[in-house]
Amino acid sequence: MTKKLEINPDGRICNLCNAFLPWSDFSPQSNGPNGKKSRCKACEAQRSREYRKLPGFNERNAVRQSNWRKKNPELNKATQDRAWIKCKDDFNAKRLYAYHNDPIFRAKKIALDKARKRRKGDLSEDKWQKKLENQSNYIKRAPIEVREKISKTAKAYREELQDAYVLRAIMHLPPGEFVSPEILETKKLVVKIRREVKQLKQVS
Amino acid sequence: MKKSAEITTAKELNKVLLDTLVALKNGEIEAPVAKGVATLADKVNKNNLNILQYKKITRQPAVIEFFE
Repeated sequence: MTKKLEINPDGRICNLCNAFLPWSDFSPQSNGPNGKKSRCKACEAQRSREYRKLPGFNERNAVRQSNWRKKNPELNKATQDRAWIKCKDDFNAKRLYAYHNDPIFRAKKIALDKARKRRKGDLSEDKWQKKLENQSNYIKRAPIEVREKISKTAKAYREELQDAYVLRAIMHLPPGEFVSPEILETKKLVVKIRREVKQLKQVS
Repeated sequence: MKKSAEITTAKELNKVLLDTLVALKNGEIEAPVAKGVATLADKVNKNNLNILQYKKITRQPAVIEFFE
């Protein structure tokens, strides 16, 4: 004889922590009697966290994943494409934002571009010129929101006299170079005076 | 004879520059005077930075009296 289950509409007791919790704190399980798991979400997360810490887990997992990728390459490519379409715009926007705000990121990018230029011999001239055009038109082709964001940040970078801007203004020092704060302060004051003089000229 | 006012540290230079900025905004100084002060300060700053960079390249301790 099958035993009838009495389901409480408010919630149930967790098997691990023995606390009465609402149904929203239990993740679903299709073959379970209630359609929910017997352990709450927090306990499940804790268990999986401990399981991932066991020795050899990462290696076993990597082997399993690589085997799956070798077995079904088409599925793997499809999942990769789907993921790229989802995060493409965000990724590009973040990269542009970082280029205009994060000096370390920009330095890395410039270094990479220089390295690529050295490898110019690999491409024919037409292809190389096309590539350069694409790179220069990248900001023009970006969506309006991204362009607005860039223009705003660039304006703030110039008007608020951020440290990276002042460094560039002093002697084209690479961004991220450490210079004593007094030097930066004097340069900031000099730039402010020059701007004031320019404004006075324009008014007169 | 009185000694002429000399700028010996970076903090003093910053103070002078701030005073000139305030005076320029209040209309106590003319624009070309302020511009001259700014260019001089910029030259001094650049010179000090050059010395620091040179010391860094030659691996000497990067210390200048101007910043003490």
